[in-house]
Amino acid sequence: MAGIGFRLQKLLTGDDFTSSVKAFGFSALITSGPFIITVALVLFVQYVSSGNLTERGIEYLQALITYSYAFSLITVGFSYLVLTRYVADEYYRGHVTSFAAVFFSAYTIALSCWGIPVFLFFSGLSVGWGMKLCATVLYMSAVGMWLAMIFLSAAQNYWLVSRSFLIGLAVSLGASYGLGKAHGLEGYFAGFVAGQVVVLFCLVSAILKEFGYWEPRDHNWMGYYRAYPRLMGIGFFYNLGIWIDKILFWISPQGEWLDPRLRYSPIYDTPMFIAYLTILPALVYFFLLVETDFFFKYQAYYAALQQQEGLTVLERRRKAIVASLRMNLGRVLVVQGIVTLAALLAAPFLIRLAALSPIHLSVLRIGIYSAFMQVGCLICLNILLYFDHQKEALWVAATFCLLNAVFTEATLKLGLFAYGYGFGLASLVALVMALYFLNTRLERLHFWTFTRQPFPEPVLILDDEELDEAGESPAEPPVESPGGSGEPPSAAPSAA
Amino acid sequence: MTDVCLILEGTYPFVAGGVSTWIHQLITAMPDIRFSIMSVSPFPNPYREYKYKIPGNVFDIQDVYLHDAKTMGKRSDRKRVRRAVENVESVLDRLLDGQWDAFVDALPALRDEATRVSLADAFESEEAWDLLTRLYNRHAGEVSFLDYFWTFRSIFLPLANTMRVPVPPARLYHVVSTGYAGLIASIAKRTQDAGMLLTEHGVYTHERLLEISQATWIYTPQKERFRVQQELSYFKRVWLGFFDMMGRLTYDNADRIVTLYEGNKLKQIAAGADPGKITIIPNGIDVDHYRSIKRKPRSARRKAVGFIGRIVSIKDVKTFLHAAKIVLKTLPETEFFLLGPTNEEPDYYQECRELTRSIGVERVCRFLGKVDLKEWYAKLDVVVLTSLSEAQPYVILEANAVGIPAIATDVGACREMLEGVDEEDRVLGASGLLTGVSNSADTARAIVRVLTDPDLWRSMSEAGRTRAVESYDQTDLISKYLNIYEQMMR
Repeated sequence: MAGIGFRLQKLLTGDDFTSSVKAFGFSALITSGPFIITVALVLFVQYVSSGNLTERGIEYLQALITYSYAFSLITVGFSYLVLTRYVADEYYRGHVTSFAAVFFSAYTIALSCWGIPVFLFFSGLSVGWGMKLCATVLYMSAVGMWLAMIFLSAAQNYWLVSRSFLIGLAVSLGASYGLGKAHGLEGYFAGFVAGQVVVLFCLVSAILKEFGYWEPRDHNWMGYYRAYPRLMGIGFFYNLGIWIDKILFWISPQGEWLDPRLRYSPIYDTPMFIAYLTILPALVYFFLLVETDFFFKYQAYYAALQQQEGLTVLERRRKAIVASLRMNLGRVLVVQGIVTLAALLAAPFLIRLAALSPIHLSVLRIGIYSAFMQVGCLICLNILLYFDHQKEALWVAATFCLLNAVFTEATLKLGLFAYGYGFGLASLVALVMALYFLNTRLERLHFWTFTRQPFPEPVLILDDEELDEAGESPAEPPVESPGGSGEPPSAAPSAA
Repeated sequence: MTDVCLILEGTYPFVAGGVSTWIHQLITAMPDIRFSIMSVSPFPNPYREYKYKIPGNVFDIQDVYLHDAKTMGKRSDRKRVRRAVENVESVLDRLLDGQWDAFVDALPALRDEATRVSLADAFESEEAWDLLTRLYNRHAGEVSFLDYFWTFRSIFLPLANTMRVPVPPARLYHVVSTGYAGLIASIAKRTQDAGMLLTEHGVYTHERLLEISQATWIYTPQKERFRVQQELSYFKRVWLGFFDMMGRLTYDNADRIVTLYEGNKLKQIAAGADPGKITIIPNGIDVDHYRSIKRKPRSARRKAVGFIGRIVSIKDVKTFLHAAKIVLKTLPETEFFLLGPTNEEPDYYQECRELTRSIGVERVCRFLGKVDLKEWYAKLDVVVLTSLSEAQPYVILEANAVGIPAIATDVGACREMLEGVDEEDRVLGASGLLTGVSNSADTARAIVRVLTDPDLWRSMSEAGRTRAVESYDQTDLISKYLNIYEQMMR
């Protein structure tokens, strides 16, 4: 992802307003990530369908969409960062012709592992086979979307990504409205799913257009599971972590049955989704300003290292990284602080806008606080990954996931006033942990950068016969140091 | 417990070459001595094979891999690492002040199970890193940190690997170079309380000096590359200092030092060896084999001059060819035979061929490649060596043993081989003539003198044959080693 921030800075250097707005939109798109898309879609459906469906129908529709997307995020979580790392590495190596094959490989494997369990889950629904199939198809297209976005972001082709989503959205809107009028709930759902399938097709055709289609499958990326098992863990725990509190609410007594297979929590779900959307400004701001400014400092450090500068220069560059991070995180804090404050003040209004009852107000307020912590945690997690501190990122993600489960379970016992604090507290602890790691690791940036370099592997020479005569060199020459051979070892971790 | 533990770096039994052959002869010639071998090599190599048939009196071959970082071991607790780092730091500071014995004081702590640290501690701990940066600030100034780091790793990984090596018990440790092998021998001597004998064929410290000053893999700042360099770059000095230190350490710990000839002895003294410890034992040949070759000169009139050796630039073949041209003015019927492989430096060989054409000697100067020398020793009237550098060339020994006078540049051991090592030896008379380096006129004069003066030729031939028997008989020289072994084994 390191390259993405770099590209954004270029977009911003032409400082006319439109390009800047474009950059905002794009960067929001990349970074807000799959979860925000999910949340936005769920709220969108609720808004659009509110006039035409019964309340029960809306809830059913929402729950189906939420389940499909939650399954897709958690199951793709295993591969998400691993694949991102592979794609980023291959992209910088210039090997893009295999991308379509890698995408199909990853997609096939994800579906063959998870498709059947998910289908079995949905097949227990009390609705017709049309709905069951639609739910499974929605899951399948969501998985495809998340995977496809990895490839298109690597190529920095944000326009194709946004266009695909816009087209899909339009189709969803039109089809669900049209079909919904004629067939009610089933029509709505089928229309919505059709739109998402269109998104998937647009993204896939964008991949084929961008990289070509040269070979049927390429399973080489799976070697990265072995090479980066921690990325697998980070992706899984983080994605499970942001869902675990919702899942616990569903299965708790607070949850209600919509169907023999579907539970939802009317008190918790929608306010938390709305609250989550408030982190959008901070994320955009971070990836636009912080990442671009910070990224130059980051690059300057590794450039100094490769240009064989002394320790004083390296130390200066390290301090520049720290200063840049401090300043920019401070700015994000201020911006998000303002947004959060405004959201808190506007909470009653938001409740009315979303047609919720006043009882949701406290959950929404706590949700807004929690989202504030969550965005901090997410940002720090990202920075840790820039410096390739996978172990630390894994700790943060796993702690977040575990604490979210424990604390949410506790708040369920405490009662309504505490709802939402579990997610917030878990995010806060994870944030403090991430900040601690970030601080100590950056304090000793040189140590971590150098010490993690692997020792050179032996180069086996089959014929080592030496023609030395009596009295000539009996010794092997010292092994060539990779640092001195004019081609310094790549010390910069190519961040996922 | 074996009698003699041979500590070998990059040679026997996995690499063929002069030193390896000598070691093989030594072991084979002493069937009653039980040997063990510690073989130092850079990396484990699954494809390697024995280049010699291991004699039955070798009981054990133990490998030491210098650059092996496969097993880093577990991290020890911080207190222990901190203590080890303090120890190493004080030793390094003393070493940098030129106190070679500091190293020996550090040994117990570095080898003791209770205090020693793992490779992981040495290369992955923050304590070790802080030591590295402290040393950088204290000694390195503002040199490239990347190169500093890799220099540190390339120096300390082999050091750490040698420091931890378990030394097999033996009555005597015989090491065949300084360097890492010398370090292991020093450790063996200090920990096993046994004698230590050092044999150097080439002088390791001196060879590293030549190698490092020409190395391109050691970082030299760009701006320094454009001006004539008065001194070596920081990293080259570090490497040299390191090998110099290992050399001094080995010389200090060795009880006796053996080398091939006087010139090497001087280099060893310059590299820090105590002159009182040094004995010269040259390389020997199978004298009887060469003495049994019956000379069959091709004709009394057409004399045959031989150049025996690889056709490479260090042998300075061009000077030989120019000399041939001059010789032909006085002795137009002389023939010149260049006997030795031509494929090692093909460009240089080509240049030599062109030179013969351009100076018009291509009819009488013949490049014959690798040939059966026994057959040719029977035919040659004189053997010429024009090398820029030599150690103790076998060619002179072999030619002399057959009874052929040799003409050689005054490098390496050539003078003592042709004129004698000491008074007793010099009485035998000269077995050849010495010439200046790259001096074709001088070489030509010597050739003409030997070929035109039958009395001189005969006396030289006689002196050579006698000297070979008296000073260079392989059997005698090996028994000298046997003597040393017997004196030193505890």
